[in-house]
Amino acid sequence: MDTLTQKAHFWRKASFGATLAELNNPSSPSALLQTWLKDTPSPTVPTLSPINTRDRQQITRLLAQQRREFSKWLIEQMVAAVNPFHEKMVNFWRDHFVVAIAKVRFPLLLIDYEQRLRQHALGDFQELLWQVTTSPAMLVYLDNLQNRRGKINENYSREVMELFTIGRGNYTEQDIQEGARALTGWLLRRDPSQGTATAQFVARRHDPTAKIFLGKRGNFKTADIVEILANHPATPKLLANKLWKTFAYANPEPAVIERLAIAYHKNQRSIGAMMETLFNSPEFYSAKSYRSQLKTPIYFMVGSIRQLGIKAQPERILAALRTMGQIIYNPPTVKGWADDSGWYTAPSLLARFNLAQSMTGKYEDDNGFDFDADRYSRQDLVNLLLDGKLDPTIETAGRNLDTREFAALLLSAPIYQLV
Amino acid sequence: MGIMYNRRNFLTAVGATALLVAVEPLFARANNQRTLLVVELAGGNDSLNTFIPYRDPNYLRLRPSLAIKDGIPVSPEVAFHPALKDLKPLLDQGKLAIIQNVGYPNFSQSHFRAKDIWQSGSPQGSPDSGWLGRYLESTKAQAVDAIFLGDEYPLALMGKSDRYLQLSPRLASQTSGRLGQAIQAVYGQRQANPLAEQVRRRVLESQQAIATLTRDLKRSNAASSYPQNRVGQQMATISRILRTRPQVIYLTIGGWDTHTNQARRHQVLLEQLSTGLAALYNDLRSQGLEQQLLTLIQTEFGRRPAQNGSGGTDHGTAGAVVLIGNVRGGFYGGMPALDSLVNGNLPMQVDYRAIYGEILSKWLKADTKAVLDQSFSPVGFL
Repeated sequence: MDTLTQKAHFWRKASFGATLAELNNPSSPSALLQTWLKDTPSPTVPTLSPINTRDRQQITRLLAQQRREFSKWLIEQMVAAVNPFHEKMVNFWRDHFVVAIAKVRFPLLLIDYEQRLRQHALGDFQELLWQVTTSPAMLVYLDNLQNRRGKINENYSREVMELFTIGRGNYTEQDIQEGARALTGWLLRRDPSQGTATAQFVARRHDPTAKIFLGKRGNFKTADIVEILANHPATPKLLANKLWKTFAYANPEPAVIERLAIAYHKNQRSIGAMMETLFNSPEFYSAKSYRSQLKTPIYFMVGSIRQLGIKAQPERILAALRTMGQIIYNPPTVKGWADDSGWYTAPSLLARFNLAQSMTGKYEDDNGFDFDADRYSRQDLVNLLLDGKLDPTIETAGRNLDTREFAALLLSAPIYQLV
Repeated sequence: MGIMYNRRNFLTAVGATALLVAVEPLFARANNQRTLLVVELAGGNDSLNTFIPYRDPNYLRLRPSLAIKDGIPVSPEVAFHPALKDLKPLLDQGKLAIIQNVGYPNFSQSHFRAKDIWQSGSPQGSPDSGWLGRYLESTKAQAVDAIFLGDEYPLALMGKSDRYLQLSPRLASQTSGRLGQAIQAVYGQRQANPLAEQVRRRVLESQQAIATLTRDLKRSNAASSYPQNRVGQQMATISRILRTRPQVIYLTIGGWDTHTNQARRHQVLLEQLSTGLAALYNDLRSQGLEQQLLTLIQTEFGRRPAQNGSGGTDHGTAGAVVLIGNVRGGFYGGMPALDSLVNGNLPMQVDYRAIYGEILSKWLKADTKAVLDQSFSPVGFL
């Protein structure tokens, strides 16, 4: 890779693609990474309209309004992030520790959830797992609230092992049942006037008898399950595999997994240490890693808007995501979105052409996007969006286009759809 | 209206376009082309409250508050859930076969693992090869020969080659004018990067399909006798898709993972399913097309016979599979053995691959062994 390509590649993977200023910034990728790793942004959360009514219809309406405000806030965080790497990590965890708004219902619980993910996105995985496990949103989403002494519900016990930590093949159905008993005891104290809730451990709901969980015996509670899972050797492997797949390429070599797992073990389960190892691995800059995945709809929108400095109304972005089939906090299953290969679909791909045209339009078009075309030369656009490589077909096809149309053409090009 | 949309009507058109498919049959394809419709009830349907063993005292014992007591008796042993009343005429006409106790050795109670096992047609599961994908490849099928309706593209339709059509209500149309021509020119050129080439080919195929859709959009009118709910509308879409004579239609319906508040949720799900299917088969009969379609309804597992502590049921093992069409109607696979549960779960009687095998050999006239790696003795529903 030449220097420009290397830089663009890093920005594409660690962020949502570089802006012109970022591409021209002399700092090296590793220096940038250090800055980002040291910084834990905690953005101001939105103040949602309070729900001070008991009328069911009113509540439904107010919740819908809160949901819109929350979604707009989410989009604004991604588009405006000063530390885009942190934003990408939060996105990663959202897709790892899946919760869906349809079931959680109260956007304030998701704001609480967002704060937990943001605070611990690059920290100790054990702490993150604890925060997630005891969050009202997750307690609702995977039914652990329903799980109490004598009335066992196995849902969270199963998914926390299968999807969040050690993965299939490392536990038995017996472990799920024992784990479920250990995870009993949680209750939500709701504040109806605010629409908030806090999770509380209530001893009489907890099953206090001995459990045997993953070969260990004890009077385990939730914190013990979290500790056992976060320190299980299979957990960093599962995380390493998923992180590498998300930030580099699918099916990484065993040596790569091993390297990331060692970083986890040596640094008190630090996700930040894993990420540092990831971006400093030579494989990250290999040909296999270059343009190695399809951009998800969220990436396509946020990336295009950020790279070209487009002003965009959040509602317009949300509508675009609906069209392409990716609505934040509304994934198809508890497993989250399909990996990038699931986006080779007509809705996800064809919608991009119209969106490319809209995004590069002028504000007076009343289309919710505003692109300042005068700021860019054709060469700027080629550098930004195609790493400086303009193939003859695009050059010929774009000859008679104005700058806006040329930008739209690049945003529509097959190679641009890849990260 | 043509293919060009201005921005304002673009978004409204997106909603409608995808739901309308060729109204006129594509006579190029064989008139007697058979279609398999797979309906996947994602999440794990509670078979015991669908086909109720209403005379088994164990049923009431295991489900003190969740047992269905007002089922519709259809045999000395089985009652339909009341929400299935629209399917009863199909049973009476001998067009409904219900196979109980379907499963495989060493059950998985994980949604994803269990779905992989069903959709791959292999008890080991597979990350990237589905049983229908392998069948379609054996017929050298093209992208339009199988159509998926839903959000998450199913493993069942995955194969070595590209994917099949997906119809979701969010399809879009391509841009036009000077820019549109430039985009088409770029997409006319083979891409060196294999993933970029995959993007290119998927775009071209989808555009072609959409051109057909858009034509039909003008001609068809939305008035139909199908129920106005989500499943009803999907069935109306399927009726239109059938006229293009695809080999496979795959529909995923979610929401069946009823850990809590099952009674009400299950009622709604079953009612939408049965009224939708009844409308589809009435429609096909009035057009003389009902011989063309075989419907297979499956779910990744049944649910635990004993109800759980929160008005629902947890993941179980063996469940029921339903076939609708030109079948030998009735019940297969025996009654659920509620008196001899294994670790609280039902033992299996019928291997799900035997059902796939029978469909492959008798309905699709395919080489079962090539798709499933082995042959199974038929259940006898075809």
